[in-house]
Amino acid sequence: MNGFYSLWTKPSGVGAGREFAMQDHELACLLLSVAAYEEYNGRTRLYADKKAGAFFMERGLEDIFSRGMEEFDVPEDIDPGVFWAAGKLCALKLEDMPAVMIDTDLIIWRSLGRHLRDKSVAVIHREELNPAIYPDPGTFATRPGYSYPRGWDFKIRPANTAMLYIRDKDFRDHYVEESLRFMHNMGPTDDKLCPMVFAEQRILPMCAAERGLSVYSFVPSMEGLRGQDMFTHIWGHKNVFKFNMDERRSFVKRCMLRLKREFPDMYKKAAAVPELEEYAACEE
Amino acid sequence: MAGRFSWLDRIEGESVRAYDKRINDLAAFHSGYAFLSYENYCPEFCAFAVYTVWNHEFNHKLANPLPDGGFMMHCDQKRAEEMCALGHGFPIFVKLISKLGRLYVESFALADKDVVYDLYFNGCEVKPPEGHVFYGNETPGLMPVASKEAVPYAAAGSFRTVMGSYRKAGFHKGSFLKGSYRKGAFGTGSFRGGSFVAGSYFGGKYGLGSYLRSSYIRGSFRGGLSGSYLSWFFGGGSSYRLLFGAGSFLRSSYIGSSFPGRYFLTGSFYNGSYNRGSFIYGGFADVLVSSQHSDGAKASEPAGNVHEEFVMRRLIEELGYGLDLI
Repeated sequence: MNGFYSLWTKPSGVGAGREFAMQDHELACLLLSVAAYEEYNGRTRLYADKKAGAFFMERGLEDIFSRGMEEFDVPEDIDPGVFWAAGKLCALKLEDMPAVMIDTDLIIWRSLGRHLRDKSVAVIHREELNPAIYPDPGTFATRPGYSYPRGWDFKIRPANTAMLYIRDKDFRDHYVEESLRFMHNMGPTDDKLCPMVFAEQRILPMCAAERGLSVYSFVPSMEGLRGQDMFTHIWGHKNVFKFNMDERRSFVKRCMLRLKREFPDMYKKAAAVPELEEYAACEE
Repeated sequence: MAGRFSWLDRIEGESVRAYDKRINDLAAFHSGYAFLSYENYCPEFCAFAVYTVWNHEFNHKLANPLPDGGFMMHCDQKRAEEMCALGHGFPIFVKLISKLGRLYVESFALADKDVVYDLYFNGCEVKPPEGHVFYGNETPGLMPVASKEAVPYAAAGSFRTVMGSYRKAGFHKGSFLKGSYRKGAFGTGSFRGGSFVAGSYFGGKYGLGSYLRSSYIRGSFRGGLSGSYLSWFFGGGSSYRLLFGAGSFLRSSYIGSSFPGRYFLTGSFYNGSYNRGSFIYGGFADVLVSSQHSDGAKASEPAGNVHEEFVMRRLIEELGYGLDLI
């Protein structure tokens, strides 16, 4: 099963005097994710915009993705501050189906094949419809002329897309089209969360229901995320890594040791990267 | 005030390596103020959630600009009460490091006269201390934020006023967080106990600490901090040296004469009662926003109508999941 990642640098403020750079914990996690996916599931590709692509090329990391890197971008009229994950949707649009979309801070430790055999759409888990995050769509200040499809059921629980499997191109096209249509038609807003998660996480299951497809969840409840042994998602914890150097070093060290132990080829690449070279001497 | 921290910039012609070395050799320096209130103190774990106000000029030079909350420190209850009663901001000193020309904070310390306390970031929730008004320009700039002069002496009436940037300086920047989610982990409410989910709720039944102390967190991070890092971190005298960069903190002209005497490092402070594993993930984890006033009365009751699944989701989001699988 092919997998793909995407990196769109605009939301990180790159360009306004800042150069794009992944930090050590981000890079270590991504390298481990790619290595694990290629080991247990299939070939990977990175969709990267110019700046992200240059970052990987400069470090000799362009060939860690066995299907290579592909340059992509996001339409100019999509606000990167509001729709910071639009890159994922634009990358999804370019990928051949079936495929698995993987966040750069997600690691998949086991084969997905058996689970996905008869599935049309799959995610790790669903979300609760909490109005603080998922408000009534009628409250979004969309542009005149935009309307939600009549077939959408707003009571459907959102789906977390840190990992997303889609089998059919037709459904992929439908989802991406509706998601991008919403983004294009969103008026000016300061809300940095709700419109994005609507476009990404609510439109997906509503589109699926519209087409009579069910969305499979690997982990039925949030509670179940605790004990499972299939996925590592750094998620909000990466913010602790940003300000707590002890935790951060410990994490990167663990990633490097895991690479060294199980994915020696990737480890060699990692050890040569300036961001990670100080960890190359780490011992168990 | 403008240019106060310009010495943190790369000098024209300075190589990345030379810049890294220059920064890494720096002493710890004063970069902001911490505000303490008993609302943010947990007597059970002797832990404060600390509300911080950073100098913006400094903060915007960092690769990861610092948030206004999410920091914790330990001190005993008696001292906590005394510090709260003082009512002023406490200077925060940071030791910076540079990696490949990018600035990060290696360690934080809060200075209280002759005692220095370690500050750690763990994302804990904090409420803005009552009785303080924080105001200023939300636009990043060269505001005289939390300057030494402004904080202790800017009292006006019943409010202490601190010139400073307010709220959006930290985690509300759209570009600051990437990933699938943001607001849950680093929205204002997350650290301030304000808008997102009632802080009192987390201060009560679902305090971050109580969650983090569960078997989940121990399981998640088992073995994560064993090994050499822990060794130096908890290595008695050497831990001090390493935490503050080869003793430069002590030699600093800022505080060398101002803060002689006792230095309570969190690690050694708790060395007797916590084993290593439980300190890191107990110590960090044990921070929660206390809902107790000093007289023992509850500040507020947990909001009963917040959906448990949502609370669970938010906490998992902040911690991630499956980290023990690495």
